[in-house]
Amino acid sequence: MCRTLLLLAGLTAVALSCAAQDATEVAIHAFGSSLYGKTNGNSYAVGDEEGRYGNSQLSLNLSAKLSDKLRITGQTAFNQTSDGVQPALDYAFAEWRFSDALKLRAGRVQQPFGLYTEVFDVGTLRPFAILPQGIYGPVGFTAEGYDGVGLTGRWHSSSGWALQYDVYGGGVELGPDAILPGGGEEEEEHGTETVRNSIGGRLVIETPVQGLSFGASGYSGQEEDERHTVYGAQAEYVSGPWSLRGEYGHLVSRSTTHAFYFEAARRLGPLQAAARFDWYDAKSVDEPLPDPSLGRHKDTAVGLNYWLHPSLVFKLSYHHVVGNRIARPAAEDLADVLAARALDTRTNLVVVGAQFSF
Amino acid sequence: MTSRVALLSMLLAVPGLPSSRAADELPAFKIVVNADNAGSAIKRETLADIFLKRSTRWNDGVATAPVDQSLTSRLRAAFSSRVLHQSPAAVHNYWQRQIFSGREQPPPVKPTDAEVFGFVVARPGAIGYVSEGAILPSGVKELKLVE
Repeated sequence: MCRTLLLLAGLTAVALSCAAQDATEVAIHAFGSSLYGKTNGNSYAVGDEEGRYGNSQLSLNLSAKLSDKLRITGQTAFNQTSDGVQPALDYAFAEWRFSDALKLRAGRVQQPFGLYTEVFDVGTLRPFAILPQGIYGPVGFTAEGYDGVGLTGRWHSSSGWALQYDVYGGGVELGPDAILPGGGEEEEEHGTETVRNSIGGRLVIETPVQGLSFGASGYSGQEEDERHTVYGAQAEYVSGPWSLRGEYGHLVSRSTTHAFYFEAARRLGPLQAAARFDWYDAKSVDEPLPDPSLGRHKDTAVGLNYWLHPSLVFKLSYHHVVGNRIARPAAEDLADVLAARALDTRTNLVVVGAQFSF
Repeated sequence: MTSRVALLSMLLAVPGLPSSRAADELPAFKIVVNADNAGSAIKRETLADIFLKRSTRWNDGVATAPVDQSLTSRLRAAFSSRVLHQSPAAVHNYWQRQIFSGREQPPPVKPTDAEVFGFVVARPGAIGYVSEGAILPSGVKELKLVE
């Protein structure tokens, strides 16, 4: 922890020193959140039955433009967990610009998948405090980054159409709990999974209608002895007070999974009302699940936000969840609960908190 | 009852940004560039692409260097509304997404017309906007905005 902080402070000092000595452009930004979540039983996202306060997070983003063509960008996150504050490297990469339509990236880069993966923890860029868990939860669809090389660029026409693309290759590190739960000790053995030798990409088409875009993403690689293939589709319309988003994802690995969500939000001055339906269904390829509900997830949510400033928002949301793929007893209790046939398939979650960025 | 209505009105005012009522009375502005710039007019779409950093080169190959005014200024609200066709808050969101996805940094912000002039004079590819009544210093010229 101290070493990471010192390293970050050192890098910042070096970057600022470089900026002071020549024309290097250095920018420092940050975002964070502090959330409280309480459920009526199962653990789900940021909440549990006791009421969980330990959901605070701060990320620092540092970008240095070293020349007209070369830019270095990095982001470090500090997450509050039950073991204290844990630092993590979100990404660190160099980008070489050949033109607006062709840029080469190398290092640990945010995985370009769907609408939210690149801004996974930035709460001011979404209407709900937590992302739709069916696609962005611990289910194996996405990772925050890939380690490798990629190309990105954007073309636009004078008629208002634009095309943004990403292609990449490397390793994709999925989060913990990315596979279907088997229950008990077996589940605890599964930590972070890496999808090796992955290739992937994303294509987003921006239409002449301001704020309306469509896209598709996908990647495929090797996860131990299994092929891990994910693809998805996205649509977004953000205009004036309205924001409408929807995504579909399909995963083929040790399980076959389908998921989608649709969310709508409307601003009224500083207030924002939001609603979302999030659906997920998975079937294990290898063996039947201990309980069918462990492969299902359906989250119906409503939220109300108050924007004090475009950089600071207070959020309140209520989630009603059916299924135990993500909302379930703590890992150490799961086997006992299954044995007692006491699995509660319905979970209610209330989330309240603040999110900021600058 | 009156106090409740007043409280609700206060809560529904957009904190930190020009109010919707003020949006009806947004100030006029003019587009300014470095005097070395060969152009005399600029299309609105081109200007929007430059300020959103979707276009990063002038026709002669010089790198564009847009400069913004304060997020809370009425001049920026006017520029955002007329040129970008978005509210300052929406443009702010666009830049937050660009920053944290590691793609691009927003234009620097200068809080006064005088500081915008200073930025424009110092960079051949610079472009900004100032109050319509501002007197241009040497090294700066105006571009006509074409819809």
